[in-house]
Amino acid sequence: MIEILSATALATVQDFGRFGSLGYGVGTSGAMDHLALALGNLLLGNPEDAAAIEIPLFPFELRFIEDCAFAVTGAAGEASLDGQPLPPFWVAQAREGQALSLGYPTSGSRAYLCLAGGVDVPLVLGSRSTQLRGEFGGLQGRALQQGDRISALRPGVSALPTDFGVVSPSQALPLKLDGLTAMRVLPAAEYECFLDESRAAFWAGEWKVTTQSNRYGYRLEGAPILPKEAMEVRSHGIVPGVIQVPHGGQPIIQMRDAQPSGGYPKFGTVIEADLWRLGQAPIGSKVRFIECSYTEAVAALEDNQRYLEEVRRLVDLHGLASR
Amino acid sequence: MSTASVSPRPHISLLGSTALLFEAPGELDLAPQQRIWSLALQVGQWADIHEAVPGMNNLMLTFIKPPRDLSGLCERLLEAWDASQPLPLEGRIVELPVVYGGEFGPHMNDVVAHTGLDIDTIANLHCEPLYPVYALGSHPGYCYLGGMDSRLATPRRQVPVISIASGSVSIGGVQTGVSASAGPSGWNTIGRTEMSFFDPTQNPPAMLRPGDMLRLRIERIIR
Amino acid sequence: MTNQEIRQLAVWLKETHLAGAEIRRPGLHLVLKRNVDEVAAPVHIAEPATSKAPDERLLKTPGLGRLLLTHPQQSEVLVLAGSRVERGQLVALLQVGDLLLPVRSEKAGRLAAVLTVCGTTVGFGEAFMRLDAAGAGEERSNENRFER
Repeated sequence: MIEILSATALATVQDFGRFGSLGYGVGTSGAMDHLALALGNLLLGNPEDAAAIEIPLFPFELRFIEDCAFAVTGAAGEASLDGQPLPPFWVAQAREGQALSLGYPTSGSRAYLCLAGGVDVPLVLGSRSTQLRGEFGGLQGRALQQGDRISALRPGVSALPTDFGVVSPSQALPLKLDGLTAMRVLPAAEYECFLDESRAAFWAGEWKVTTQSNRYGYRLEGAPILPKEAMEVRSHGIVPGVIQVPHGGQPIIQMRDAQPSGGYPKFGTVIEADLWRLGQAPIGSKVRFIECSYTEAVAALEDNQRYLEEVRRLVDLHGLASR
Repeated sequence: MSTASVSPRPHISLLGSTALLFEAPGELDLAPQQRIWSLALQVGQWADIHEAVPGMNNLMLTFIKPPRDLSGLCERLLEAWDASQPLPLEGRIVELPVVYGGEFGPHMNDVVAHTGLDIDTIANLHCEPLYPVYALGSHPGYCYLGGMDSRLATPRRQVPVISIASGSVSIGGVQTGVSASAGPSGWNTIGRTEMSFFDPTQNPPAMLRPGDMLRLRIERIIR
Repeated sequence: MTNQEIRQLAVWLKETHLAGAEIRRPGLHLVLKRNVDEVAAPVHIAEPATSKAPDERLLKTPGLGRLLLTHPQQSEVLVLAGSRVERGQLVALLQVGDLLLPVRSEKAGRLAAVLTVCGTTVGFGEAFMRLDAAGAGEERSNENRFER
């Protein structure tokens, strides 16, 4: 069990997301960087999609109320356990009373605190992710507060090895364009309805992640994307990654807590395999987009899967070798 | 009478590698929506498909895993649409009392300005139809309604509002809906009602489903 | 060499796809070969001659892999030359595939010299850092502060 010491808000319990309830108007929620979540779980020997705490604001501090193994992945900054430095993407054994402190990130923007066995909160509609709009899931359907106590499913001293780490997704699966974090995008239904020069500018341009960017959506700043003529689109289902272009031409990328439906014109969709890159892009940073095909998008998912499988295999071997 | 009719075809597009969007052709109407419901029931059972989510005369299909044969899926989908029959409306009728205008309708003036109608006319035209629930979306329990009088159509707002109250009755383009919880909205809010639309502990968790109907009643008009 | 070290060596050999490894040091000659049809040239890891200076403390690698002096996601080295090193402190990382294993100092002292370039593939028991005795008298009683 851990106790939140920080007064900072916005940390939420997330797993991979809540699927199968779109038809009730329930969006998926889930981790903005599902790879970091999966890696933290793999380091702990948890199921890949066990729930963890997503931390978007720093510094963040908590105390272990009982012995528990844990991993911190995602954004890398100065992290320490009772003052002792904790490397990024690392699994460690915490003892009762120890304090974990996560400092401002030097890379990435969201950290994941994974606990042995996963965070113990009830499943709601098949998931432990926090549904903020509906006020259910996660910890009582809300962001964590100072004083909150959260249990792990497998507390105590871990029988599995701790004190080791893993190479980060940004190292294992690099994707940059002209030195900037890049994401692959599949054109969407209204792509052809935008001006040629707007389309060209989207792919060639640098896009700044504005301060109005969060789990609901990322508002980007760059050369306005303009339609050939005004469009009214009927409300339809959407998924995280859909790039909407409202009046004004500044795109909004729908993220994990976005509404599951929308009616703004769609330029394209950031592919599922690259959503984690966007989830880790800090406010104020600039990103690039790369046009890709369906086949390439599917191949990218397979690349992610192979990386996770490789890590799982190595972690299992490390476990065997350590007995 | 022409024997060769060229009917517009549905449009199919991708939402990344995660989902596929099927848009029925023609005017937004109830009969195509009933065919969408029928299509959803059928396609929702297909091997690659996780969920078939109706929208306004459209259907989003989320994938369990991205299908290898995407063009084959599209062909089957078009065939299923061509063969689909409208599902009859057999849902329940739910009545909602609405307070129009004043603090409960912060954008009533914008609708007045755009439509050229006065508040009383707007409220009466808005309560006239029996609204079929076309689809759920937007947020837990929220219903997209069909059948709004086209004279009330007002474009979505240029700048969405950060938060409108739960139960807000709004107009977005040619559509109308009732919000099920507080949150951001790009629609024009003209009134408010009270009802619990969603309870995650119930099965199903949403109170209404496609095919149900809403009857709005004027509780009060604040001018 | 302990049984655990041998077991670990076998596991890492499998990971690095080497056909085998041969280790020679005083009192030990170990040859490991994989059961493959084509045997590529095995890696020979010779133990470098160690200095016998009494107040020098050599830190040695715990296994086969790429020795890193900086975490790939950080910009500063784990230990600055000339700084104090406690027993159990993380001084380097050993990369095996996608895993990063800790290399913790078994001695206390002051980092006098780094003997290996960051990123070098190393074997068992290679000296990679040299501590000297400056500040050795200050070894603290809470040696076990660092969790393994």
